[in-house]
Amino acid sequence: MTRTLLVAGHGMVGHRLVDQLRALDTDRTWRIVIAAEEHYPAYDRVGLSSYLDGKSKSDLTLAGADLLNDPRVDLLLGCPVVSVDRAARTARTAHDDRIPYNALVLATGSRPFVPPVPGRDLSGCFVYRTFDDLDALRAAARPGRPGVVVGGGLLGLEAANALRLLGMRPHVVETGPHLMPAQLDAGAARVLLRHVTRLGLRVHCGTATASIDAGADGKVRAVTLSDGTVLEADVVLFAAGIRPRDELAGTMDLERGERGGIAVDDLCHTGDERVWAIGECAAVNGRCHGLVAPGYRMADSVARQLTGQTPEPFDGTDASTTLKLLGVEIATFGTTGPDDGPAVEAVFAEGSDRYAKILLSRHSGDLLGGILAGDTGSLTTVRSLIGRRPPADLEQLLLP
Amino acid sequence: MNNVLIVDNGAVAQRLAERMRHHGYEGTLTTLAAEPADSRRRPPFPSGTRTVTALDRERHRVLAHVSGTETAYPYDTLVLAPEARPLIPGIPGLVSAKGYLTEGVVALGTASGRARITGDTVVVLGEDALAVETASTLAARSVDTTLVCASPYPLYTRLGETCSAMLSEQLEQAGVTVIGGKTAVRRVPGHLRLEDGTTLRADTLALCTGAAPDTRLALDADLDVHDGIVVDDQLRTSDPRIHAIGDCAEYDGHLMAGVGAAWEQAETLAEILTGRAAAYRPRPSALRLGTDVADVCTIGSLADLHQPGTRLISLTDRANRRYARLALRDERVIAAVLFGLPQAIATIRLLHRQGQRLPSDRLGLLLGLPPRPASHSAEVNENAPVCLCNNVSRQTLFQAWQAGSHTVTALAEAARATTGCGGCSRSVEELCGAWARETRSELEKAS
Amino acid sequence: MSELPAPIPEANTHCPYCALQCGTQLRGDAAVGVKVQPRDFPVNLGRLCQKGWTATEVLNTADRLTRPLVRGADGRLQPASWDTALDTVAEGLNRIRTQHGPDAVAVFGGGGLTNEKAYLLGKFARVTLGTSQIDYNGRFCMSSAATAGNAAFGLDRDLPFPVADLRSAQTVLLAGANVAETMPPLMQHLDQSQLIVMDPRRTATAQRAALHLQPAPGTDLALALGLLHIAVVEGLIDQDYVRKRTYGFDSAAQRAMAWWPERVEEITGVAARTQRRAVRMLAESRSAYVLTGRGVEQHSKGTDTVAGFINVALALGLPGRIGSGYGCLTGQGNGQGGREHGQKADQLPGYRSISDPTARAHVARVWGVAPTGLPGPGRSAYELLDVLGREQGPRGLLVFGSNPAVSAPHASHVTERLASLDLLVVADFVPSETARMADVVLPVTQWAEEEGTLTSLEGRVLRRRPLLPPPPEVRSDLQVLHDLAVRLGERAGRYPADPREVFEELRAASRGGRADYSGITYERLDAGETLHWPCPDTRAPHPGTPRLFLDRFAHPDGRARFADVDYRGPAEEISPSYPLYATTGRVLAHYQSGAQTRRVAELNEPVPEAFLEVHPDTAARCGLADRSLARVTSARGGMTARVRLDATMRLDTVFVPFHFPDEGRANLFTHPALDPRSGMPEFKVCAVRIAPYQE
Repeated sequence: MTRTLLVAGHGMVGHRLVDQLRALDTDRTWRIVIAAEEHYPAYDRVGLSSYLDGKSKSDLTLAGADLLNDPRVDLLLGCPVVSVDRAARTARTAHDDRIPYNALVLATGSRPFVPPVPGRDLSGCFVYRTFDDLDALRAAARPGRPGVVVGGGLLGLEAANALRLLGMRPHVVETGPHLMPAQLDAGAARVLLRHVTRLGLRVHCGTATASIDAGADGKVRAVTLSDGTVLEADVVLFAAGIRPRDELAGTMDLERGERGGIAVDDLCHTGDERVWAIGECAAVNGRCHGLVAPGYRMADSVARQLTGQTPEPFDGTDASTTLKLLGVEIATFGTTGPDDGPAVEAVFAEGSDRYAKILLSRHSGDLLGGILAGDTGSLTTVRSLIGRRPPADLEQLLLP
Repeated sequence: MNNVLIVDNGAVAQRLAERMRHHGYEGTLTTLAAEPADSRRRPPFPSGTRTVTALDRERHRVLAHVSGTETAYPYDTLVLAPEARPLIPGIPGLVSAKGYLTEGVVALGTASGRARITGDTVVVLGEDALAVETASTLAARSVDTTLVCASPYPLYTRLGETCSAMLSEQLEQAGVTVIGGKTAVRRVPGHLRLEDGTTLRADTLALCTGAAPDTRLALDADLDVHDGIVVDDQLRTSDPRIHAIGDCAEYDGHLMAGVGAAWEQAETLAEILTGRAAAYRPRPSALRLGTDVADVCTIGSLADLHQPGTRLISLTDRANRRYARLALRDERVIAAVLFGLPQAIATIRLLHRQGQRLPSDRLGLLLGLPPRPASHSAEVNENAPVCLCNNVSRQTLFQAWQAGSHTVTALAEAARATTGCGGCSRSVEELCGAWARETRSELEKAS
Repeated sequence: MSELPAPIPEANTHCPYCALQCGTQLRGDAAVGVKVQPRDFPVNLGRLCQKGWTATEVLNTADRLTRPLVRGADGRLQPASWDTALDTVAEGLNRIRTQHGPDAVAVFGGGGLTNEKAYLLGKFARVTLGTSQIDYNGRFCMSSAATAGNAAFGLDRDLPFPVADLRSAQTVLLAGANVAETMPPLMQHLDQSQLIVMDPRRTATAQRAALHLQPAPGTDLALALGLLHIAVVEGLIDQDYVRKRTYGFDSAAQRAMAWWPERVEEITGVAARTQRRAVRMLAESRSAYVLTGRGVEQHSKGTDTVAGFINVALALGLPGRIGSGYGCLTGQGNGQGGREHGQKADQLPGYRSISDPTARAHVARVWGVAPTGLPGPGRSAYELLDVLGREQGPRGLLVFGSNPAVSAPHASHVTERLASLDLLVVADFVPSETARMADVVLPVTQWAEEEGTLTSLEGRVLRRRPLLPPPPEVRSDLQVLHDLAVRLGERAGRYPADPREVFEELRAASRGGRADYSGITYERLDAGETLHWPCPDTRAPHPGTPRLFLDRFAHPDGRARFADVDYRGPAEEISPSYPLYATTGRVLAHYQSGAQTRRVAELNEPVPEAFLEVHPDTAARCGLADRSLARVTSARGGMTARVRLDATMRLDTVFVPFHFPDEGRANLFTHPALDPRSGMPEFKVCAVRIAPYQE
């Protein structure tokens, strides 16, 4: 007797869940229905900018032919779930289909945050998340003309790179004191800044977008910053962070995290034991995770639960990330903010090309974590030293 | 050359005289007090002070007042070594109508004046090394001491924000009240008023507001003077018979601050004047605070820390108040700011003076860690001797243990361990205990 | 009555090696083999180090000298009879003396010789040879401490108190003394105290210290001046003691004012905070000791450096008080006795100066010669070796109990000088490097085969007792001197061969001197009495003086002297071509030139060759891998050593032990600069470069 798994959303994490489940469900007990909002099957959002650098949609598509032709899988494109009746265990889609489920996994991802700035709806303003967004952007792009990206985080730099690939001259506006304030410290950000500036990006930190000004034709002509500078711009791209898409939780009467997101425990379970939430839309123990690596770990955990295997509880601490961004190696490892009081910080840097920071416990002196930026030693070697006294050649490992 | 005249009797002049005698100078050696450094002190001057009034280069002599009468002092060689003259800020109430410092106000050009400070509550005005040393010395004498400085923290420009804040905390802990970011606006008897209207009680107000080279004599005698009296690598002024050392001398465009540098000039000049081949080589500017309150050292300037082509190593340990910024070029120190790291300061200063390279384990050097194995090297070798005095290894002990010696005394008999200095008795005991436990658990498993 | 098995012979004696003179008992005989057991003696309390345990193995080492050797026309040393050998020596001595005068023959003694041997050797040189040219290898060991001690206290006895007194100490400063390796059983007396160790290396002793000061080699005097500075500035001076019991504090304190901690730090590399802590630890202890060793003494300013540390001890009121004091840790077995009875260039028995008329009159009377017949002072050890075979120097040399070819600085030069002699005679029991160069080699007895007395580092006179007869053709040093003297025309009685008789003469000669042994006899020692000198011959048997200076110091005014010493750098500074400091020293397994200990398998196997202790970074920067062979070169020459990486080493310093011969001699690179007051060479610092060894 097959059971039905309904997956709301076919982003990278939703796709990962389906892939893992198909691999684990050897005795084929599950029939899978995917209700995707977009008209394209799951694609690689991390490498999205390559779509503007010669790659086609199919190059980026994650869902292979084996998934599309798998008799167990029904992929409904452009057909998002709009409401769920948990008592009847049935969901309703935008085309008014009713889909009963034995298990429901919400993977609705997140939506770009558009700051409430006057002129944000002018034509020429875009967000940077889907193929449609990029198609619209490519159409509006004017080579040689300036464009402004709002947001200096990871997504903002991806978007700025997109403008660069489209031949435009990008500005980046970041409210924080430096680029990627969530992951990097000032030193590492300086390495990043030096590199992206060499690529032609003009970065404005510690200032916000005051207004987006229209030209005579009603289209975007310039952006005024809070410090008064006016940046001429034909295009404005909002990449100032994301907000988890937790609307369904409201209608399903499921709990939400304080800062949004569908509240789940470390097994990604919501209050309803038949409903899970994974990826950017989930708030695990109150905290949302915007990067793909933690999302994949949630998907793997739910896939194992659905096939009766013991799952790995989600551990949010090792926020180590490796980013190959615009040709710059950036990596964080271990904890960069320990809770047993201020750690001992040590930094080894050369100009603004190479930067390695480590944190040591102020009691034991053991290595807690750190940040590598630019041409540094191998992350795997350094990460293997976490929890131990720093060896005599640590500096040579960090900056060979 | 057998008549050397030294103008000024500060510490440097005394040191020069001592070193010339040491290097075998037999001729006459006279020291004349220039006008007392702190000239605005109210008379009467200590009796018999000879104040130099003029330098007559044509007739190679110096004119001086000795309690009223003017006397001439001839020289073959003249050495000018006046102490720096303290700069008096233009705050109303510091200087009387006649131009003398008012009651309770002391101007410190150099450390030597510190002994003259009295009074129950003292306010030190200034933020340089002298101000910090003066404040901490007074606090150590449990005088109620307050340090007022215009920058947010003392030595702000020399140490940078984070480190000068740590210094301020340390001074507070040592009993100095630190008031940063405030300027003084008026001295009224027994008090000092600040810009924000607060008034501090100040029996004594010690001014550590910088000092300027005393070049008056040189200027009057048309010697080549820039900021200080310009000298060459023989410490000679533009007049070949006249030398200058200490606070007043300027070599290669720099005034050399600090007693250490002045003493080196005195040593070099003593060698030159006693016929030895010597040339003055200034060392890069370095500061080492002379106080037990905090270990502070800088080499070069804050700007030097960011020279191109250098590797910057920095350490920040707020909890234990330790801080370091080290700029290296091919493993040699170019510039440094070091705080709260006593042994690292000692090692780095010596290596810098010798022009030697730092060890490769800079983290271990800064944190004072014991030597540790490299990441790839095997664990400590198993066969290191347990008993040094008789070179008895753990393996030999274990063989003896297996052969039946199960107590420390039995092992001493069989393998001589612990019979030298007795220092290894405890580790031999621990080994006996461990091996006993091991065999007991094996027995339990077997039965 | 059945024949009881003959009881196994036993003898209570002392270890032949270092000045601690651990009490030992010898048991057994030539047939059944001889064993050493520690005795429950106050300095070692039933303990011994590895050298003590294995001391008997040298008795029957394969190449022990058992017959006289004379160098034949073919240049090879051939066995010869005693008559031939002694005649050859006598003829040689007479030829040289008639051609070039009495000072053309020199004598070189050793700190390992018993009191009787040292005394008779001194007498033989002055009376029979009539030469002033006599000195000994103790010059390389104790001369700086002796000179400074005499100047400060008016008398030089290493420990003016018994070793056991150290057990009550709260704090002990060990300046340049690596006791855990050079005198291990002494450590048990130090375990209850906080140790402050001053050594450029992190030695086994430093690892057991509460505080380790690691100065750059050759800068210890700056550190001593700095400690005095802190004691003065922080008001830690024992004012009452200084006023009542010393002289010259003000000029020493004034000098120290130029040595503020941050200045000392820049020269020595020892943190100012560590210097302050060291002084406070010493000042705040109710009972504290300052002890110096070779580390601070073997310098061209060794005497001034020791004086600097004595200044600190005096300023804190330590010397001459029960439970506190200043002392120096002698090296050789009879280092103390060996420098009191006349084998030093400037000395007569009883620690008398050879230039003092009353001393000369007294000793001349004992020796039955006219005072004018006694020569004046001669050259110090290295000055003597330096002029051997030269126009104005001696042409003949008698060597007793020493191996200068290995232990003297600038070894290649010294070896050259030895080779240029017309006559080199060596009395030894193993073919040492110097013996192998000799024209005549005379085999003498070892410690387990002879009677005599030695004086330990406490100044306590101890009895050496034989267990075994020597091999048939081996004679005691005293017998050799007797036989030579007779051949040189002396009447037999003048040079007794029986140690007891020699000791009686020594008592008379030392009577009234600073080191007065006149109240000490074999009988009192054999009855087990503890006798520290001075022990004058008083009506009621004098109890000896275990503790000196309790009520007054030995200067006429009873006061101790501060010394006004100022700092100067090492004789040879590091330079671009010789960028590293080299320091030399001992390892636990070996003793002095290694001639004895290299012949004991158990001692030689763990340390078979010279090694170079160096920081891994310094080694890497010089292209040296661990356990590879390195050349260590100074302006004077080079030697070969095995690389030993040690991350506790200073970056600017390397260490080489001096126990090894030929290309392994550390003294091939050491600097012969001498201390002007003591004649001590600068063994502990010179400038070298290190590089991989090329075939």
